Amino acid sequence: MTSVPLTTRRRRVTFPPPVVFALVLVPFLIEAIGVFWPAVQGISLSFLHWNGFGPATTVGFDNYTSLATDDVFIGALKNTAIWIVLFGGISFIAGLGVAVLFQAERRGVGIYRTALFLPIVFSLVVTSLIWSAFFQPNGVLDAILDGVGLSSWKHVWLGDPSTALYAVIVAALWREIGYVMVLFIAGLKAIDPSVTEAAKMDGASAWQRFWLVTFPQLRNVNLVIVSVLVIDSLRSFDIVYAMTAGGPFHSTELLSTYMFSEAFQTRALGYASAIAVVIFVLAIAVIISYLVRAISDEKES
Amino acid sequence: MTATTQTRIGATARPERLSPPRRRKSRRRSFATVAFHTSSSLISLVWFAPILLVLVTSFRTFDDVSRNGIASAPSTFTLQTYFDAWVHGELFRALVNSMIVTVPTVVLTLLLSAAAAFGLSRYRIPFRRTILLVMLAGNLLPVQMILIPITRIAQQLNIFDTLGAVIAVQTAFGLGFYTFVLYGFMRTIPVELQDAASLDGAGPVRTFLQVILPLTRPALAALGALSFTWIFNDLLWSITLINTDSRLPMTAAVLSLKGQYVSSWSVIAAATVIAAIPSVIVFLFFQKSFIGGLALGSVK
Amino acid sequence: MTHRSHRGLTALAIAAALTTILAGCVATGGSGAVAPPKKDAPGAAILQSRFSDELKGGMPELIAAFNAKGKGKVTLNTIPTETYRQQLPTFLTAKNPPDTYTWFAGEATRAFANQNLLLNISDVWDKNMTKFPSALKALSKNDKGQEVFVPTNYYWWGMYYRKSEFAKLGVTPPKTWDEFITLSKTIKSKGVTPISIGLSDNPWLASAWFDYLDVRINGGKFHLDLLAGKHQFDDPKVKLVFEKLKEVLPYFSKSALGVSYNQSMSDLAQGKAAMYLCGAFISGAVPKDVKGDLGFFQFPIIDPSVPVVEEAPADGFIASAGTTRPNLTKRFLAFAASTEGQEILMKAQGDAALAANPDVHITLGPLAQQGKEMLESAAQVTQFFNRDAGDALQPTADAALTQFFSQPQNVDAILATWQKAAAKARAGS
Repeated sequence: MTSVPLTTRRRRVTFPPPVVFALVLVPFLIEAIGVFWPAVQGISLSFLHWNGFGPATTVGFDNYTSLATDDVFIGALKNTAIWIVLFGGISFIAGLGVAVLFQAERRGVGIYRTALFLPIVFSLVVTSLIWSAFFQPNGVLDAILDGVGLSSWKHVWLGDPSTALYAVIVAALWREIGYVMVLFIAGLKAIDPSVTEAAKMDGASAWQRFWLVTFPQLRNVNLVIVSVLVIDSLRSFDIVYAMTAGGPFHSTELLSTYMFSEAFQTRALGYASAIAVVIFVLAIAVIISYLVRAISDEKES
Repeated sequence: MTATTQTRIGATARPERLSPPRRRKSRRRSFATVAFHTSSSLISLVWFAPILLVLVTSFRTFDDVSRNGIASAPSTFTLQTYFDAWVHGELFRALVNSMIVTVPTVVLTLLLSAAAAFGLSRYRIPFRRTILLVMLAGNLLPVQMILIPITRIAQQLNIFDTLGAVIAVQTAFGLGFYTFVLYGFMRTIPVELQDAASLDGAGPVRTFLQVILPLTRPALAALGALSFTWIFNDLLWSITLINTDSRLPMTAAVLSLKGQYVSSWSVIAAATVIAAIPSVIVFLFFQKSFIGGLALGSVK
Repeated sequence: MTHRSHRGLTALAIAAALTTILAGCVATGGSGAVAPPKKDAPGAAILQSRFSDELKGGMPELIAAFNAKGKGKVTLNTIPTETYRQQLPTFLTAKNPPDTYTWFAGEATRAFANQNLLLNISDVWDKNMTKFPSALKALSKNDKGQEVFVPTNYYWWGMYYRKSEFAKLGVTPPKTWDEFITLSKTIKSKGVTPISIGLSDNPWLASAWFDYLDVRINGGKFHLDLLAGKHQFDDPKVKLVFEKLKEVLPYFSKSALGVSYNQSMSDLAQGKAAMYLCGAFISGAVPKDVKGDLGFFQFPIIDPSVPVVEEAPADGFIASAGTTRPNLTKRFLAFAASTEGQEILMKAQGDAALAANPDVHITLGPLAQQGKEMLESAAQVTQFFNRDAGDALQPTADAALTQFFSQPQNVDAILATWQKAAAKARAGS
């Protein structure tokens, strides 16, 4: 990529001035010390059996081979995949939808945007409590179902392994969509309105204008948001932990919650680190493959 | 409200105000406005309902909640919960701690990552994409993986149990993502602007501070609001790195109200409402800056 | 392209090499047995407490009384309960650890003690705590026979109910398992859920049922040996426990797995459910006017030939082996064990705990009196599943028991999975 032929008008053939290197290097070094260095130590923990306070034994790749035969881990892997698709996918679509709806500065949008953004600022301790009250037997959801004459749909939402995961996803979506909306609005604001106006003049319908003009211009934002959603999906932890703690019997266990319970309840820090490495590798794989494709698309165009 | 909207539409459409097709169009537009507000209000209401439940719960007594359950209709009203939360949760002290951590972290992170994004997006630094991806990769790490190593390092550096340690870790951990986002935004800024600045004799630092940063304002505003929320609401780092109660931030203080076996959910709800206020104010404030995005559009 | 992937591979190889080298240098060792200094460092000793609720477990009053004596100063540092449990190893292995900690007896304490992380306080026991019951003394020792724990109080578990609701239903507390089944049947026939439990956010509550059924059927020795890893969870004797549990499953609220602890308590308070197997802390979880209406009965006897065992979890203090103020810390622990110190703590606990010091004489409420008599008549006491087996095993029990609530027909598979998970948890930490 350093050998891209220089186009006509670009004049920075020479090396950038040293001060620019400093601008890049200082943040990079801070991240290296604060994140990469501990991360390498974290990886090295995955080759140990260690409880955090006793002596540690080196076990080579033992933790990784045990993962392969651990049913809970495999279940968590499946749940995480479901989580990425549903939580990530719905957040993206719904976030984009409300962003388009609320992008224009008009009367009242401030209130609407705030309502959607608010869930992020509420403490998780209470968020999980509220959603538990929503899903509990004869709770808010069941009351609504009774009200609209769908009493037969009533269910022990959080207690049934076949519905618990989806119930938690609903709660997680409630927190995520407003956040995705904010990112999309920031992206939409940066789009040149004259192009859309021109398309309007040419008689393009609103739908066409969106898909053919606006959406392609959101490519950079999409890049960011897809990355964010994958990261958030793989890291989603607190809401699951607070609502079901991975239960009933591991049916809502995600890689992140399983890792946490292995680290801080079972105190198998080595095993937990091995799960963390798997999460990391998955995130890298998804993001890098997406980024590489997005960046090569960009080169072509 | 509809009246004002109509006047505004009327004002812009004054010349052909009386021609029949135009009037039909304006009627269709006011119908669209009503449809917009109806659907938007519905969405907002659905979104707001759980928060309403928090608010309602925060005004109920412990006995009411524990007798009837949280999903029941309230039969009591009290302000005592807010008093209890404020006093027993020592929320003022916690609020100060949270601010001491949040404000410097947000400023520092945004400034550092904007600098990195500037260098990477506007100059042909060798391996710039690799550097960007590596920095982003740092954000893909599961936080829990580095909790224990970070604790050890903080203890070795003698900064364990200080707010400074939280600021340092939060800054380092945020950099990758913010740089990645700002890189994307800065690339869309036309190169001519920078050329003009350098023709005026401005060095990279001046170009960065006087040309690029102001143009990145909408992105900085959005990121600023988000990072404030994240850092203010972070629990994991503060409870990992701080172990003196007088230094714990807001989120940990709210958690403190949860007992080992017994918790008063109405007091916790009250504390949650108090804890949410700073983030809401910041969001409302930064929201105005999104409009700054229009400035960017006009430049093009 | 090829050029680039080569570079990537090289980078990977370097990273891998670095990682392997670094694996050797992460500080993972437990701190060896360091003899505490003879003389105290200046300054106050820190008491690390997990009681973050309003009353703070009576710790502020205890400390104020100690500080007033002029024998040194102790300061209180309160950490949210959940955080406290996650972070205790970090506290104990820190370079300058806090001096003393609220904690509980059993495996949870032994695990730290056996890594030489806890201060040996045998001299405090020998000098100040000679009258403490021998059962509590045994519970406070590490594997070398040194005392490392100061018990302050303990509490009981029982089958709680509302007296007025029982009167309304026209039923009386049962003594035996058969009477209990009949009682449950009667209650159910009157449209009330016989047994309440909330497992959606607190699955560990189900372990109370496991513990009690196991000690009633197989006795205390088998139970403790099982939890210590000397028997397997797929043992036929464990299956007997699950078969007994199956007999009462129809009387639990059908939505037990989907209900939160709070909601399950509300159900009891509202009379929607009749009974709740719970610890003495239940009295703080119900409205004030219901509190006086609460009664409890002993977990029903299943096999009269099995000596009666009760759960009696003990709470108290441990101290760090790395303390720089061992003498001050011991003076404080001696005070916490004294009648004066324990009376202060008991006041803060209300009617939900019993003092560990037998010389403490305060008027007990009716429930505490009943609890005390029940525990005194027991042949043996246990702590609780996680306190006896160690926290590492609690998630395995939660998974097994909740799955059994939902799929009782799969008992064999459930027990096999439990055994596998327990073995893995024991090996991995």
